[in-house]
Parts: sequence; C-alpha cells; structure tokens
Amino acid sequence: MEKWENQGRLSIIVGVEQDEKTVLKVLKQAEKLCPLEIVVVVHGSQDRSLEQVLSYSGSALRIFVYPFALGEDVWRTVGAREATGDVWLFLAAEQIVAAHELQPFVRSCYRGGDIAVRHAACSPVRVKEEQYPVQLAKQFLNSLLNRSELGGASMNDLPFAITREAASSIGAHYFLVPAVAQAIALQKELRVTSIRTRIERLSGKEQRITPERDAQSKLTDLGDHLEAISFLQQPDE
Amino acid sequence: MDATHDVQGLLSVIIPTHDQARNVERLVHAVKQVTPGAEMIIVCAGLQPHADDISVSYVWGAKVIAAESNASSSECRAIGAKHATGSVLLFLDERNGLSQACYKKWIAKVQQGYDVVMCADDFGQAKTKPGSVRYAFSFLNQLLGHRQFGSASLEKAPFILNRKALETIDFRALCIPAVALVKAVKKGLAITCEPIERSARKRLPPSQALAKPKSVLFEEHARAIHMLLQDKNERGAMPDGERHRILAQETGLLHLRSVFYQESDDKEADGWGAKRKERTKRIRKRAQRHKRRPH
Repeated sequence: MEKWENQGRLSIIVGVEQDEKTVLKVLKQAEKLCPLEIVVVVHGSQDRSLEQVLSYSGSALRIFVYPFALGEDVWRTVGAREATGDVWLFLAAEQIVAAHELQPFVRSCYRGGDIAVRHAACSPVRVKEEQYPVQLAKQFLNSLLNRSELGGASMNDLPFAITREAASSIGAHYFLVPAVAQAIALQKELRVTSIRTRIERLSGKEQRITPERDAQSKLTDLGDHLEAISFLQQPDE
Repeated sequence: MDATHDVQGLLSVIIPTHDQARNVERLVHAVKQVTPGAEMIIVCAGLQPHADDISVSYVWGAKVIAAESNASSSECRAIGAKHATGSVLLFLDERNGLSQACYKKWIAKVQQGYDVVMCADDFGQAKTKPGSVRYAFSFLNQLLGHRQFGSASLEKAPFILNRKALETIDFRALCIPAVALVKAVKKGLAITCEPIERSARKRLPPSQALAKPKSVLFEEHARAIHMLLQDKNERGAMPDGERHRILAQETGLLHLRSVFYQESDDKEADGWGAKRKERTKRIRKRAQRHKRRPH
C-alpha cells in the first residue's frame, strides 16, 4: 500500500560527489520505494559518478549537474528547490541504506510527522573521540530547544525525511546548514521524530575520505551547530 | 605547619540554602570543624528580612543573608560572594559538606596558584548515561578548549574562587555560572578540577527550592557560548565546508549547471520484494501441479 502512496507523494533527493562505487546501489534502493521522482544533484564529480547516474535506467530521474563542488550540504537546498512531492527524503550517495529501512522515515511524515531524523545515541563511552564535540553539540541544540529526548538526532545526518509544508516553513535556503534548519524546525515546534534504523553498509565515507578531510568535515559540523546557536541568540525581528 | 593554616581566617565559606532546609545547622557545625576560623555565610532563599531592610543576621556563628524566595542556588552564591571578605571563597552545596582530607587537597590547589578549583566528575567513564545537563556542561568545556574538565561546572558546588578570580569575573557573573566560566577562561585565570570523595556526592537529593529549571540552564549556556563566539564569528571561526552560499539566494535558472531528465522502466508494486514473492508463488504453484498429476 505504501508504495502506491510513495508513487504519488514521495520525492527522493540524492547528493552525489565522488561516489562511483555506491551511487548505483543507492539509486537501486531508492527505486524500490517507487517514488514519484528521484532528484539527483551531482556536483564537483571527478570520478565516474555522473556516467553511472546517466546510465541508470531503473527509475525516472531528474539530474542536475554542477561542474564544481557546491560545498557541504548545498545540494540539499538545490534539490529541495526542485522537488515536487509532498514528502522529501534526503539520501547521501555515499551511504547505502536498504529501502525497507528508509520507508519508516517516509511513513512518519505520512502519519502526521513533519520531520523524521535518524536516531542517534550520544554516549561519551560509545562515540569516537573526534566525533564527540559534534555529538555534544547536537545533543545541546536539541536540549536548548526543549527536545532532549531527541538525543543527538540531527538533520545533519542522512537519511532524513521532511514534508513540503515543514520545508517551506523552515525555508529551503536554510537546508545548506542543517543545524540551522533543525533549530528553526524545533523553534517553530514542528513535529520532529527520531527513527531507529540500521545502516549496515557504510561503504563510502570511511573508505574514501582521508582523515584530514574527515576532521575538516567534523569541524564544519561543529561550526554549523555554533551558527545555529548564534542564530537562536539573535533578537527576534 | 599545616598547609591549610595559611588561608584560614582568610577563608569565606558560602552555603546557599532555603527557609525549609532542615540540615543547615548540622552542615554549619560540620563545616566549622573542617574550616575553623573561616567566615561562614549562609544565603537563605525565602527568609523574611528584618524590618529595617538589613537582611543580615547571625546564627550559629554564621552570617545569614536573606534572599528572594525564588532565588536559585547560583544567585544565592553571587549574593554570598558579594558579602564575603575572605581572600579565598569556598562555595558549598547545602546538601554536602567537605571532608578534612578533601578540603586540604582543594586548598593546596589554591596555594599552588590556581584561581578557580572546580569539582571534577567521572563524565565519560561512568557506565550510566549522563543527563542532558551534564552534556551541556561538557559541551561548554569542549568549546573553551578544556576537554579535560569533563562536565565540571561552576553550576555545581563545591568550587573555590580566590579574590583575584572573583574580582576578574565579578560577583554578579556568578548568577550565570556558564558565563562566569567563560569570563574566567577568557581572562586567562588558572583553572583546575579536583575530585571529591564519592561518599560526599550522593547524600541527599537536589533541593527543588534552589534548583534552576533545565530550560534556564540551557539558555544560560547558549548565552555563554554566544559570548565566547563574540571575538570570532558566528561559527566560532570553524570552516564553512567551502559552501557556495550565494547559490541558495539565486534561482536555479541562474545556476551554471546541466539538467538531464531520464524516463523510468516498469516499477515493482504490491509491497516489498514483490518480484521475488511473485516468483516464489509461481514455483509453488508449479510444484503443486506436479504433485496432483497422476504418475
């Protein structure tokens, strides 16, 4: 039944950079959801990712190709502007998540939720040392907005699903800094739920990204959360 | 000579409490045994002040100061700090005293030159999941560049300030301990953490009368973080992930990009793994037909 609903309402937005090893598998899982459309934003790709996406024939794709890297998470804003469905599911091409693990995010939005984010436990014992400040930042942002029970769940982490109304309430241009988008969502008391999911094959990031770039990415995430805290501290206009 | 003698007489002990508290007398006597000769200041929330508006009285050899009934423990501490005359200020919790051995260790830290001594905890090592408040303390310490402080905070007594620290951060700042800590770090005060014995930690439940709502505490931490970022930028000088933010302001028509549309093949329907189920069904039917067929 849900597939019929997906066919009429679901837009899947996928960001692709250097993901030739995983992008086809991600599209395959996306296709299994039978969405209304799949919006693919390919940017700054220097490997065979674009070739792979263009050769994919499983599902209707709308592919936006930028010859330069848009920067972290800018593809989310680009994709959100092009999506036409009632519910949008954001996926990273570097991270393969099985279709049946993705459907709960979408289902949550069909059943009255505004945003469905991935559950994340924030335990000082479990989290890796370099990730820890970011996890603390996520936890703090949720607590600051009276949603401590969300723990470290964040729109920073993919996948997440959002309804079109919620997205327009936040403003798609804020999607490029996910922590700010989340801060606005919680400030506006949108219904944010966290979904427990298993991501079995994290084949992308850990293998491809160098430790230096990974550390840089963590600092960017931390900066995003500081930007969100600063945003919340601004006096209301 | 005992190391603690150097500061005794110059020491002010500040204990916030409320008018319903029962253990204050016992606590005062216990603390006096550990710190003889120290100036004792009890700041009591909800205590009726005298008619002549002088809200200071003396009970059990301690200076008792009245505070508003809704004052939090940190506000009481700030009031106590204002009235303190000692060169070293020891802030205690209304629930817990400090053992002689522990007190000596803490005072030794002041004598070593530390301006602020906070209470260390086992954040990160404990098996139990810490509460959201401790995460906030820990996050602030991370941003201050003092990861080793764990979830230590001026929000939690006991802690010690010397006169220099008090004058640097100003007693009013103690009303918002997170801001006081940021000030202390920014002004370059020497800060350390010292553990207290486990038995002193869990005697009584926290007093609701002096407790701050969590939301206030988080808001105060956000203010402190905002203050910390003032010298840098809104991102705390962290990288921006090389974002082309301008693209978010412009319509897609103005973007330098190519757009491709691809048509779809047939989609599978009827629930998860419909193709596989259909195949299994066919195989079963065929098997049944074989069974029915007479040999």
